[in-house]
Amino acid sequence: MVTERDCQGKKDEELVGKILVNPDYFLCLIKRYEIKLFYYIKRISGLRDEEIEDILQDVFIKVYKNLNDFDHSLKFSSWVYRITHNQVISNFRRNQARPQVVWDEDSSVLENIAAEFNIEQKIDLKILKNNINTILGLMDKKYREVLVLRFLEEKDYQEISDILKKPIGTVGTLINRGKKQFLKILNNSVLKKAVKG
Amino acid sequence: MAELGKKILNKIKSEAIKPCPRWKFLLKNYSWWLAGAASMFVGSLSFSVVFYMLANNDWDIYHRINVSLAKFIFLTLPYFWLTLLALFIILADYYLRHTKRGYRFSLFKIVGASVILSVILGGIFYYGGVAAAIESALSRAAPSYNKLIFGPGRIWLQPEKGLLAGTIITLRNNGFLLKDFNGQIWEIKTESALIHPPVNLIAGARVKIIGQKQGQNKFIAQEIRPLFGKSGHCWRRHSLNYNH
Repeated sequence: MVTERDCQGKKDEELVGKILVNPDYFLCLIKRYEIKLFYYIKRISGLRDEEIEDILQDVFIKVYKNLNDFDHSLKFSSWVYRITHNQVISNFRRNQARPQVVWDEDSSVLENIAAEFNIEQKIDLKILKNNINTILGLMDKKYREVLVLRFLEEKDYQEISDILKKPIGTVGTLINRGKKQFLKILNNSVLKKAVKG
Repeated sequence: MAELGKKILNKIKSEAIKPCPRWKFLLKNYSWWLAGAASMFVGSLSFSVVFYMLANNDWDIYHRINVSLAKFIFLTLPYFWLTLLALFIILADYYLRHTKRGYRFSLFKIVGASVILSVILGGIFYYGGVAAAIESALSRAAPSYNKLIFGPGRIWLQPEKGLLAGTIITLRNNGFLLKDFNGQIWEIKTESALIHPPVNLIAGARVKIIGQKQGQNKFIAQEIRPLFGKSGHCWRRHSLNYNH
């Protein structure tokens, strides 16, 4: 039986090799990624916890079945996120639903986003927080998914490229265009509220 | 959530789930590479034929049909082969993008590399005589190919302007019967025709003819050229001795 001590100090890539010999080591990877992936699925789907756990189970089974396909030239986390992303998409295709972005981050993340997006000071962070779910939900899927990975999951461009299987140049372009669309929707929503108010 | 790991591990053990063998993933990846390489290969062959057709285009005849050089080029471009070339470059991009690391390259890089490779390999095939062999084989095996290249709307089916192309059916005194690529039969007079090698006036030979239309189905030949390929520079006057 594999214990927590067996998992400590071992890199993900190392654990992959061990799992192929002894499946019990898979528990190490599950414990390492279950929380991160849980919140990632929650952010991009808005599903209930029970549904997320079902998807998470499917993800890990898929990860296990495809261990021999893991490409050591990329980070294991990028590969796992890729499988998770694809599993959420196929889940929505099966249920013919639209992914709902859920935001429940703290204000420090909001401040970082405000700075990164050059959001004007006069736009209250409260307004941003209240509108962010709506804004992300209104955005094009291709922009939304890169913005979630970049600013909420804090992935770098190479990781996003590996997760979404897009060239790194395309990722940069999508992030820039995503920011513009985000600001446009935000400004429109602020303007509408100002006119109404 | 605390039990998720154990739940997954139990499921793996109870259902005897195993990792897929590595060879399956390798086979899948190599298949994409092979398909991509095959597409590039066919694209290169297409390019070699494009090059061959442009190199052997009858550039000297455009003044006969009173069109500008630009319009002549537009009329004689090998659209079939250019379309095939474009199609296989697109396919090569599709297949290579599905390889394990293909997604890292932009569309511009993959298409650019495909085009460059097609030009290089196409050039090698052209100089190796592959393009000529392809044209010749297609022309014999697929009559519809001749119609596509030389048929209605194409340069060599304009008898009013003195241009005809087709297959020699039978030989006659002072000429032969020709079936053009639109299916019409012509009586060709060759008394004063100049014949370019490697044309051999025998039944089944495929030729291009420059001359003058005379009546409904008669044509006086001034020059007879091979259907494909460059006309030889050694001219000989037509003699009355036929190769029956």
